[in-house]
Amino acid sequence: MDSRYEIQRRAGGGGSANASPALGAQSRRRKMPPRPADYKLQIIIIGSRGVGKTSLMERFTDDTFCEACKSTVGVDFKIKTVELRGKKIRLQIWDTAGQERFNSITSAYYRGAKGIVLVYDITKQETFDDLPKWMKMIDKYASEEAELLLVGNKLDCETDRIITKQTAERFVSRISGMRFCEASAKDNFNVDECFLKLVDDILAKMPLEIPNTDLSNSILSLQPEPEMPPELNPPRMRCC
Amino acid sequence: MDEEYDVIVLGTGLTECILSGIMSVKGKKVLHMDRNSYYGAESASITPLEDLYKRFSLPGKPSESMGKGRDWSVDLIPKFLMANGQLVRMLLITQVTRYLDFKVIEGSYVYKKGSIYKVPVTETEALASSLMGIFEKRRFRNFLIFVSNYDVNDPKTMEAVDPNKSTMREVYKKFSLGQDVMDFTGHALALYRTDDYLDQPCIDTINRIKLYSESLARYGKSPYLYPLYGLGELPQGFARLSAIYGGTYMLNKPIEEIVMENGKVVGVKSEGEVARCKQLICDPSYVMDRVSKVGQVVRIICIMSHPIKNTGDANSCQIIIPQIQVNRKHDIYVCMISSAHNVAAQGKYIAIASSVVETNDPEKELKPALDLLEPIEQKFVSVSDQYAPTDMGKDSQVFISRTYDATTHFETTCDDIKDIYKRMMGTEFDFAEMERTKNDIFGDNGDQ
Repeated sequence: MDSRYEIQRRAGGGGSANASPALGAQSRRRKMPPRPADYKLQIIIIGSRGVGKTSLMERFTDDTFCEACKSTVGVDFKIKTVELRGKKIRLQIWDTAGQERFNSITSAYYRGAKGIVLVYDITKQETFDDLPKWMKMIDKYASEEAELLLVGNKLDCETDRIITKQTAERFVSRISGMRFCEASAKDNFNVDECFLKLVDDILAKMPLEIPNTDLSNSILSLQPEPEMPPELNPPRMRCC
Repeated sequence: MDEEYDVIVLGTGLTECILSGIMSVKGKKVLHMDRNSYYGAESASITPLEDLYKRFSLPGKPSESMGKGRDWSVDLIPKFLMANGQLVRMLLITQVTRYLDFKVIEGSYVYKKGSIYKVPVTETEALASSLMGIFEKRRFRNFLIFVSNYDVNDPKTMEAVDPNKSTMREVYKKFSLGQDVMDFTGHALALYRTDDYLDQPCIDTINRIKLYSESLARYGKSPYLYPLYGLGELPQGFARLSAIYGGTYMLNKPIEEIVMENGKVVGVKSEGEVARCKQLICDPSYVMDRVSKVGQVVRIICIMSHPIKNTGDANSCQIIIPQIQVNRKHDIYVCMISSAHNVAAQGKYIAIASSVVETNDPEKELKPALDLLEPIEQKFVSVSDQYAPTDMGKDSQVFISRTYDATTHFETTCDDIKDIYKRMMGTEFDFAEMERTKNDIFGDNGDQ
């Protein structure tokens, strides 16, 4: 994707092998820290076992595909930074950790997701029949603002196709705001486009300015060092 | 099923999920099952609101004023996390913090002669507080400085107070602390539920006060943290850790039998199949023949449309009602959270009162707490039996956890986890054991 190379040239320094020669000696001396991301977005991928969730993720984040790889173990999430609408976006793409195998994905998995990629296998009817079950979980646990994307994977197996495009489009038409596309993680067809379309949809709905969180009761992600909200400076106190 | 595992875990309560995470990270093959359709067992948060009504057998559906059912996530057991406590330490070391967001509880209040008073958190608040007289405050301050400096490895700091011999009563006497201050210290800082500690070695109390101060120092408003979306997020976070390291998860799994051979567990039977294991971890509900009842806890979940009176409209708080104030043997606690924590619909508040049952009218015992919460829109009353294992697992290799107790935080839960670990592994638990052994985040980390 061209935009990826664009990012490297514009960042001009931070860890990129293609630092623009035009900046010359100056950029080499003054090592600029990479510009922090404008947005951090959490995306989850759900769907029945074996439809290619991890493959789609790996194709998007690493541009790799592993034919022999079985059920995913050992992946929490993958990070990919993209640039869209002039903003730098750090995507956190979460894997199910294999908990879909026995229908045991936690409700917590759906919580913070801004985008949900629901995947089925175009050659396996049951993976499509499972979709209402996944929609039920989404309705129950996911944020109502989350953007939804349905992906029919394994487009490389066109000859074994069972689910037609029209069938899927009919399914999606009944769900407001859900997009649909078909892709092949194996052949790297349409994968980037699908993900980026989803991210674009999320961005389109986000406010232009990141709202100032109410610092008096701000949300904490626990760090080893205590996170003091900058405005609240409690006096150096002894207990009570 | 039909496979051999190192450890099978039954029940997805917090204790079991943390142990499952520890075992998977250590490289053990774990199968984790629960008969329920949800995670958390007795430590779950119930969502949507309709399910809470069903669970408590309330007829009909929640009224319109309750908003959308899915906006609710109601804890079954009320607890907060001490900011510097063991559970937070476990969360940090395992990085389960990745899956959670927290808010600081806005304040802690203590009940005295019918009214509630804020537990001071700054010098200013302490000076202004009417919880103790002005001269008492000076003596109390000296006492706190002593506790804060007290170090068992440095005799100079101990001022002739022997950690294992001097009782707390003697320490209070040393600082000329009166009844008010003793009550406050024991129940609002050291968080004891009774006064039994007075004649015990003082080191436990000193450490509890230190834990309180350290936790308070982290975020300033109170020593407590609470996860957004409810306590039920905690077991789910640890379950995910276990799954990432290969743990297999099965909800909705009816457990038929724990299969024993020569007094040792060999597997678990469910839906006609047997999964084999070397060790078994479970909560008491799966092994009622190996536990004994050690008490009862009464909990009343109250839904309100207003914050609690005299808390400055706080969106969260803790209220401690010391036993001595209400003629009881055990303190009563109230934990209050609200829509600010994504556990209730907009404008709604959830307060859960709890205590150890002392009479045969447990609901009535909590009246002093409920009086502080009126008007209450909806109440959910539960009286839970508390169990402790009679089989410690030495021969059976069945390791049973304790039922969640009426304390206000998770220190005793963590103690139970450490104890089970020791029974299973034969060595003392070390927090470092929980550290993730492999990298499981991939992609471009360059710019955080």
